[in-house]
Amino acid sequence: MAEPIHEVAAPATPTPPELLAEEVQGSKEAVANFLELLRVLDEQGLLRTMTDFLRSNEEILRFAADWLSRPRNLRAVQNLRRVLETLDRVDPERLDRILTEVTEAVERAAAVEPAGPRLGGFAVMRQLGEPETNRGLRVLLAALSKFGTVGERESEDGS
Amino acid sequence: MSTIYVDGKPLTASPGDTILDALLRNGISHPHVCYQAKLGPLQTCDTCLVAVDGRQVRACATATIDGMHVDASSAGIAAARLDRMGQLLLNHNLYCTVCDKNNGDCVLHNTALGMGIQRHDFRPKPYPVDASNPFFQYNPNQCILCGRCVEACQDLVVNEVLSIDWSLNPPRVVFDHGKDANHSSCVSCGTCSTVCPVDALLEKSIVGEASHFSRISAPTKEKLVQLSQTLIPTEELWAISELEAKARQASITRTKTVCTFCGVGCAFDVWTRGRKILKVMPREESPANGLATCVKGKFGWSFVNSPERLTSPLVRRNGTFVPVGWDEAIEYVAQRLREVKERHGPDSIGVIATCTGTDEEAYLTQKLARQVIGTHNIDNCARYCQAPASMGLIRTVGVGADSGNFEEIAASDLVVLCGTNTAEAHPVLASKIKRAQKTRGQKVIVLDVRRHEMAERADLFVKTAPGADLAIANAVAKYVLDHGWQDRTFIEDRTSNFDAYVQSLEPFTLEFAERVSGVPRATLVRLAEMVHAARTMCILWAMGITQHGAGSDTCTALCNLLLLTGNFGKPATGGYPLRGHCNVQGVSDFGALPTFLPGYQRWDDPEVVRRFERGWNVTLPKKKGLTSTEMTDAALDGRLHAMYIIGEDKLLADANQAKVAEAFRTLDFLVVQELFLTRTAEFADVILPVAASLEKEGTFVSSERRLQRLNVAMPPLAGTKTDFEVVQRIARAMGADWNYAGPREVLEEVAALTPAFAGATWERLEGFRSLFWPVAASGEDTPYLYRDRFAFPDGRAHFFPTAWTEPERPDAEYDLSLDNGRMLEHFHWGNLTALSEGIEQKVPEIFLEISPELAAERGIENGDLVRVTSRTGSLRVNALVTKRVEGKTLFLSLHDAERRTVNQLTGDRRDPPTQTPAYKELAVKIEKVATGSGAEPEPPLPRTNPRFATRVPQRGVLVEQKWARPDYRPLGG
Ligand code: SF4
Ligand code: SF4
Ligand code: SF4
Ligand code: FES
Repeated sequence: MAEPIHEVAAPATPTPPELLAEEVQGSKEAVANFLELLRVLDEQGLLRTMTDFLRSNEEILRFAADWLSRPRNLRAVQNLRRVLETLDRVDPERLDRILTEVTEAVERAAAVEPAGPRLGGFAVMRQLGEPETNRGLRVLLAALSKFGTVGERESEDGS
Repeated sequence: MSTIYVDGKPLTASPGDTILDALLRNGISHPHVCYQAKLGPLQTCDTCLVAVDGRQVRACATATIDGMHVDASSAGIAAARLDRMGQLLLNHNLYCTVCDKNNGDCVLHNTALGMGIQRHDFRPKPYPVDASNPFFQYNPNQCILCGRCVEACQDLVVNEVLSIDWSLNPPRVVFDHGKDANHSSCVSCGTCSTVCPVDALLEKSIVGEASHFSRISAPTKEKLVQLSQTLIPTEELWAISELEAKARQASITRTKTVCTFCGVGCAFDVWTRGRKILKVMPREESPANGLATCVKGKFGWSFVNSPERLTSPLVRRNGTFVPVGWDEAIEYVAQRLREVKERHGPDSIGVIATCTGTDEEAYLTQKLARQVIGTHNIDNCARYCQAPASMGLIRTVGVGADSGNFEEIAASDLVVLCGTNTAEAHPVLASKIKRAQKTRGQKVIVLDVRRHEMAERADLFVKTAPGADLAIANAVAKYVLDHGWQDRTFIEDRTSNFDAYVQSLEPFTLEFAERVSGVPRATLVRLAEMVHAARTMCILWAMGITQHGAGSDTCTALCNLLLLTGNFGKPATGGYPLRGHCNVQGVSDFGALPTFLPGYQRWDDPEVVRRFERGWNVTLPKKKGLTSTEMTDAALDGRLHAMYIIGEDKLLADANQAKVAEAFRTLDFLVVQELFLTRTAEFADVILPVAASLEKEGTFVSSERRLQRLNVAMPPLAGTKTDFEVVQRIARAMGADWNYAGPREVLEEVAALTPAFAGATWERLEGFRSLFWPVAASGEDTPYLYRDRFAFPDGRAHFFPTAWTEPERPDAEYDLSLDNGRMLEHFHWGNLTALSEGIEQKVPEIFLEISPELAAERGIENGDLVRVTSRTGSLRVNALVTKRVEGKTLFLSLHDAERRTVNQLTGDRRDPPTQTPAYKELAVKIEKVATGSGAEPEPPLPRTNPRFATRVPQRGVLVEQKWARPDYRPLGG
């Protein structure tokens, strides 16, 4: 006679998280700090951003490397980063002034024409869809794949 | 084929091609935003402009003519397109980097990028975001008024909720002409959010999840958007958003799967990040559903990550379930099954295969029963639903499955729906019928005891008494014969036993049918006339036909009627039992039936037996197996001692719950394999926790005999295993030499042993490809059956005479008849769907539908607590007064797992040939127990349920109204 049972007994053996908890008892504080860091990063969505960019495939890295290697783009990104950094601290009244500053910064950046043949952002993006139509990009990508990371490329450039 | 000249270059165009079709077919990219192939030209965006003979025309809506000259790229026409794009973008803020739609498939983003848009003006609309629906939101500010959602809602899925109110300034999309989404007639099918080319209609599950920047605080995001308005779009910021979108795509996985709920077989990509389900995206190439889904398939997946899932095998010890390791659990199950087998013989064990598992899992389960345990006691839940349909089809045409596919149904002149609440139980199929009816005048007849959506829409609604359909089918057949309307050639050339059939129809006069069904004679005549007038007819049926004492005979009578009128074996015809579970078709097809080996090969056919004995290296059992319902009886009378039940809540699914509970108590050993601690699992000695469909690969067969593959979207939840692995491990622990690496190998074994699946290979089912069985070794499949011959030795269909069986009817004491069935939002006992917050908001509890007349007579009001009593049992439930039921018919939905399950009431009556319970023949009485709790009578269904609202049909988006607006500039000449 098997009567229905509605409950499940608590597991007798410790679960993996419990085992982990036991193990880290010794370095509680460090772990707590680390977890707090992870939590904040996760809350801000930054953990995912970092992971995604790390996980991203070659294509993106090459695209990024190519795109960032153009001085005006690098400056635009630097500008943008500064803006993002300050934005959370900005009160609404100051926003207009900041916007003006940023616009000017970007316009100044835009005034600096990169040396060599110009490969427009649009063209680059179209290339990603239709790689066979822009030989220039392929040459660039091939060059990049030789140089490897952005950092190496920058040092090769002497920048 | 014709030739057109685009910018002077010749292009071939197929007949019926528009200019846009021809361009795209020839690999020429050309802007188009509102156009979507499945929706057709909407003509709202004007971004596709080209010039023909100096006049601007919309490429998406202009037919090609041989010799036509098209200007697609001159500076003038490109400028005109840019101008129109600018108009469109007035309605949309290009904040792509912070937008959750920019995942590589945002139509507007891609088009704007392709057109090189540098800067645009944006005029916010003065309307707030409507986030009232639990599953998706509408943001008017981002809505480009393309009308795709309207077209989809009105004419694709035909739920008829959305329109664009072109008279407003500015116009916007409205629900039921201006309600909030949650109070409208919207059934939350999600198709509008699937087709929206931008982030205006967006699934809530992805809001704040896709963009790397969308989790930043709202004020910061606001500032960022303002910032982007000043700066964007410049090339550089486009590039940032492209870069960011590519990084998103790296972390979002899109896996093609097949829906786990009903038997329609909707296929879609599920977008996940780790175990998080971001959204479900049907695709144009989804073979059964195209862009459509229902609320369950699109939004009903919370159960997969529910904390209530079982994550460890459990063994009953001292009145409690104790978690144990997998090795211990498997060994224990094998040992106990071996003991029972040794003591009482192999036929003392019964096995139930799951109809939500894959075909390959079903195959292994029946192989375990037959080869390893040594019994044909193997069945599945088709026993409770469509076994009588298979019987009717096998008797008359030879194959116990849908004779055609959904396209045949959509193409038919006349669709007869018998005992199927299609719009709720098979919503995506219903949409195809609704679309055919709305857009091309298909005729629809509904025979039902209840006025559901399809009945409301029907050209003829025949309200019948429960169990009377056989009399109606036969009376219509007799009327057809009496008027000489039968298809003589077809009968002559392709059928046998006609005379006996004609004779059997003698008693079925209109008077007789009227008396037993309550359907007026004139209605029966009208029905017969419509059948006669239709060149092609499909009959669809479900549980309202099968779950009766004469279920098999009624299905047979419907098939006879199709034969009489020549409606088998040609396009747009046939008989279609609609399958309830995602793989109830496949689990039967792959042999989990007591009397059939895989591919409906008879268990007692010597040639078949020899082939399987050779293939499996075993002597097959000689004794006929028990059906699932007979296993209940056998447990009670001491013949069955152990059961292994996979993925079926038998306690709730089988009739007469108290009896099934008693049977479980009597067993020596019960193993249940499940995701959750179900009511059946509560009786188990061992519970084995298993994976959900998203966590495994394999194939399903949908209602239309369509084989499709599902893929692993995420690994099995920690602690669980796939049914595949568990069954294999049990077989090995019981001594079998099984070493299947995966479902692909199993499919190969099935193909080798089963002619119907000879050409069903893993590769042929790659991606969104599918096959209709039988599949020849060459790979040729069978969209509809019987084109050349029926599945009998002489190739002829067989008229199978039927006689009238009196159904169980109400009497003086049990004076009402109780119908039961599904509601759109939930699935079965709610084991899965009740874990979706959104679905629970829409339908938090079940209720008893009672007609206004009966409610008035018994003094019952909305929300009153009512006791329902049958000869078997009783339950208490709140009442909902509704015109969906009439007179003395009540309706109770299935979706409760606790104290209000309809099988507390159902009895032992069954359909004799199949042993399927007569769930739908149930006489009950009711009494009011308590008045509803509210001050006013309040229905036990929230006002936000779409059943309280009225649909607002129209044809498409009514673009002419846009063109008539004073702010619209007509196309230039
Ligand atoms: S019924 Fe609702 S969810 Fe479905 S298309 Fe219409 S508005 Fe969208
Ligand atoms: S909400 Fe509808 S009309 Fe608006 S953009 Fe989306 S699909 Fe087009
Ligand atoms: S439940 Fe049925 S209709 Fe709904 S999405 Fe799933 S397969 Fe399609
Ligand atoms: S795509 Fe032709 S008008 Fe929109």
